[in-house]
Amino acid sequence: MTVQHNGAHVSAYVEVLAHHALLLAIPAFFPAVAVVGVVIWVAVRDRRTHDDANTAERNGDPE
Amino acid sequence: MQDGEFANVTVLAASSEGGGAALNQVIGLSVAAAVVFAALVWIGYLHRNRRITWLVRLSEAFGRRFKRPPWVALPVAMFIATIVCALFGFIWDVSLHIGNGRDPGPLANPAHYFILVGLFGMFVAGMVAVVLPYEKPGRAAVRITRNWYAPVGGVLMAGCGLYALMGFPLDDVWHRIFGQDVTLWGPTHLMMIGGAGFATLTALFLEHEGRQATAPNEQAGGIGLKFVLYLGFAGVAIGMSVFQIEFDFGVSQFRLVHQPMLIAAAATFALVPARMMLGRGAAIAAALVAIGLRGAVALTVGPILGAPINWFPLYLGPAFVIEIIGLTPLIKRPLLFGAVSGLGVATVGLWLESLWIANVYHYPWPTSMWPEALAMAVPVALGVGLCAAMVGMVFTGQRLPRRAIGIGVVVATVLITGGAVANGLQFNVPKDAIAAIKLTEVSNVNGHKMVQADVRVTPPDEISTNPEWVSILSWQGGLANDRGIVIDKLQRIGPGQYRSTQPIPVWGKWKTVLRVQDGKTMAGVPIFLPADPGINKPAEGVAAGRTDAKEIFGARHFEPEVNILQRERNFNHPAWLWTVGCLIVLACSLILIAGLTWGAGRINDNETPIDAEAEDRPKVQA
Repeated sequence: MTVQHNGAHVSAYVEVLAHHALLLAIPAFFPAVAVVGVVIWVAVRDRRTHDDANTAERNGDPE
Repeated sequence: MQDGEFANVTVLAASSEGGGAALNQVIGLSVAAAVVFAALVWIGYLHRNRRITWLVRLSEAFGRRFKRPPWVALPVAMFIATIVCALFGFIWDVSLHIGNGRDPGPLANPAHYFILVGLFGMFVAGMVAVVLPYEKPGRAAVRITRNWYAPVGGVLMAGCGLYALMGFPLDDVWHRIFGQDVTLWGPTHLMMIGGAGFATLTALFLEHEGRQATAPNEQAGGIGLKFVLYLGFAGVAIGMSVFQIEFDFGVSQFRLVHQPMLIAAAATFALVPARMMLGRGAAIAAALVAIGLRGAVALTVGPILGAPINWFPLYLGPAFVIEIIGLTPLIKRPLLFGAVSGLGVATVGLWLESLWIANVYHYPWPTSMWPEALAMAVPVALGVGLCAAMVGMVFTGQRLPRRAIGIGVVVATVLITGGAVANGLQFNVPKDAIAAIKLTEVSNVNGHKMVQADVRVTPPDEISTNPEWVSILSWQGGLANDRGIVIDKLQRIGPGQYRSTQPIPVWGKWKTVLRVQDGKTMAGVPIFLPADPGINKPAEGVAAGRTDAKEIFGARHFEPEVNILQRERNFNHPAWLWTVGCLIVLACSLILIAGLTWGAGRINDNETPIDAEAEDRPKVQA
């Protein structure tokens, strides 16, 4: 899509408003990322701890 | 989801008046989010270590009610609640922006809370499915630890939620660089609505995994379960419709030719698998449930909350076409069924849908648009039909075609759709055409000036006799004033001559613009744009600064609408930055599609083999 530069001088305010919106973004985003991080950490730790001893892990058995 | 934007002046005012409240809201939300995070991790930890039983009991209660494993029933119930919440927030948010313009602050818009809660809840629902099962939830389940496996549908649902939530910080960065892009089709907005839209599919993946893990004689549910399944596909139809919302409000900033393609793609993608999985009448039933849900949201947002009115596609024409094709032996050959259904939906289905569009939408599809519309819709619907058939094959436990073919079809469909959208985004602005506009006052109560507009376009043959639209759009006038929106299709009174058919507002916060879309021509002329210190812009347009006069006359060249409708956008950045931004968002979107494709393939790969374990195999029809 083509757009034209309309020569507006709008840089001065942008920083201020973005600050506000970022505050909105963090509470929504942060817990989700943190939860995923915890799960990945658990998965990685389990593999490090057990993979050596369980090279022949059976795919179908949960326990 | 266009967050608030301030001038320095406004921010100073806000910090002494309303800013404190906004800050409280933000702090409150942060605290709530931190508490939710801690609670989630703590509950998950206790549950995985079998130190609590209430989560098991709760999920088992849902499981008994819906005849599915607990790790399906509870997350799906949560998902339905949160996605409806997000849908309502989304439609309400769009309507508030259309009627009111920019938000005074990010949390000053009540609709944002529903979106935030909805998207976060969607993520939580997926995580609940991941955390719940003590035993391996079906053969396709993903290993997290040696004794913790997560259902594919749950992983993907959480992934879609995360992807949608990622839209929030990226949206912030986007606005920081590019200013406000007041269109739904801003790349980060597409992430948020696309993540939620595609998540509907993951709920059905999860349901399928649960069905596979349930003994056949325990699967059959009553009318309630059947309704939930119809609701699932209705959800996919609505989820795939989120890209059309600007058309639904009559304020599309892109060419009308996109709309039939988007309708054909959404209908095919949702209703083909519905028919395959749930049998005769399912496509129509799913369309009817979708109408009910969209209708309820539209009714709440428009007539009840007083925001601008939105319509929605019925998908009954496409559903009817799919049902007819489903009566033929084609139904036994899924890929062919999908392809033929796509073709049927993009032709006969669209024609049937166009009757509804012509009756309730502001802009019916002109006959001159059909060749290009079909050229876009038919290939897209064909590809989407094949993908939809593969989704249906996953849900019915039929073996998918070879991996290379399956992935090839998905890639080809993405490329075809990308090509069609790229074509739809092309437009020209007539260089030499001039619109002479005469505004005659018809009323002026308390400064609420309403005018009649007479427009003369030269050269007179610049606009064909069958354009998509020649109209005047007035919006963002405030919900108290005609819901903040007036869309007037101008009456053609001669070659190049048009007249308004209802009073046009040129006062207060209203933004009024002459719009023309005729084939590839798409352009506008500002009539009244108020001074906006928030974005450092003076009053603009034919009527700017002259609203005291009973009669106003002005002549202007046409210009790209992005200058007028996205006045807040900031073009003070290097062009490559925009490209890089779009590419990042594109990459995220492709990862989402790749993830869904992976999930579908994984579930199908681990399907109970038909010949080996025929007796253990659950019935595919619920």
